[in-house]
Amino acid sequence: MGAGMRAVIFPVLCVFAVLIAPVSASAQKSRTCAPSAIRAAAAKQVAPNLVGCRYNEVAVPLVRYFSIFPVLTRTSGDSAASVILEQKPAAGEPLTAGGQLALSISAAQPKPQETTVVEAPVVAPPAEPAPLAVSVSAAPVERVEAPAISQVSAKKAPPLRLPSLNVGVRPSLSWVWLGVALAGFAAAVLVFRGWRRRSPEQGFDRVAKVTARLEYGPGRLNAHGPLVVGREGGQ
Amino acid sequence: MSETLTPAAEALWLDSLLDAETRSDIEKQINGAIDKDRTLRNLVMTTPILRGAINRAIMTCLHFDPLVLLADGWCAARDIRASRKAGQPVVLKLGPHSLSRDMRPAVTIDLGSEKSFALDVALSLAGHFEGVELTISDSKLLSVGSGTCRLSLQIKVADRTVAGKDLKTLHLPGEYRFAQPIALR
Repeated sequence: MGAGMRAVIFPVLCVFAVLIAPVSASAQKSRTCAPSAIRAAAAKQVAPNLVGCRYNEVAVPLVRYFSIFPVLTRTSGDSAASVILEQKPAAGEPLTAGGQLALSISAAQPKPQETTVVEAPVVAPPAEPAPLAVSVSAAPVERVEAPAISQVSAKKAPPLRLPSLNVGVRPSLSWVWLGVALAGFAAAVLVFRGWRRRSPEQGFDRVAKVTARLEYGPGRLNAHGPLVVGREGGQ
Repeated sequence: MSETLTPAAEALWLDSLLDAETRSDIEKQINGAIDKDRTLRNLVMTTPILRGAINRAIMTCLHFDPLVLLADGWCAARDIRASRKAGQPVVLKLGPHSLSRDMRPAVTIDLGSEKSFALDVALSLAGHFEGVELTISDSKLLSVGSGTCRLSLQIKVADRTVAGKDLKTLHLPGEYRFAQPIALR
């Protein structure tokens, strides 16, 4: 093989390396995210390499072999969601006593105002500067000890903010309407109770009393001849 | 027209002299008068039972002695009043004449508050007397008798006669004493 041949083969290999490198990296990543790799790391009592893995894919074996404490971290909008960004202990490091594995998982957001950041139930001492600490349990399968959540710290994230319904009504005005509705209901109840307490004679369901009378006009007498034609007595 | 002998001991009531046809005519005119009154019509529409109650109340008012009602004409007659004298009773023999008197029913309905309505209908009771005698004592009319009385009833609406009916011809006994003496005026 001459120099010309090497001059040809070297660029081809460079192009091949450039094209193959991402594929091999992804293949390696998939190998590290495989349950077998996680099981092997648990058998060795070291932390598996989880950075770059999707949490949904490794959650089942992780839960089976480790005590994990996932932390959802807000990331930029173009970042993939549910990807493990950091871990503590790092990959290959021995597991700490108590067996904890803290993971920092990305949580992508389509809109800034609807970002949901969920903090893991970890207690991070303010003196510890480590943003994401992972404690991997030494016990591979059984978790006897209760996980202590003291070594994990998360980046300070804004508090959880749920999306609110914007109905265009001021809170004070809604309270006014609520008060008016309650007052109206109370008035209706009072009126109904008062109506029910009325006696049958005073209520609307009483029997109507109808009395009639005849207004008499003056008596009229018509006689075509003399009215008195005879008299007896009184002399 | 039927004839009825009236014993002196028994009272005579007008409603007992009305037959079914006359009663129907009276109720018909009363219902028409009810419908003419706007307020009363609305009341009857909201409470249909009122119509029957009004009719029954008016028919109940017809339970009176027709001769007592008509005697008002005798008490106001000048010739009869001229015959009154203190002392012994006086018996006056009267020639053929007729007496009539109008009656206008008015109803009062109590629906929480009383409301009175004068119906635009009138009942005119007329009596045609022949050969009757009046007994007067102490300026009071005591009895009537010894003659015939033909009673008739007319129903008037807006002072116009819409129906007339001859009720009975009474053959009065020798003395038909009124329940209460009627004072001459």
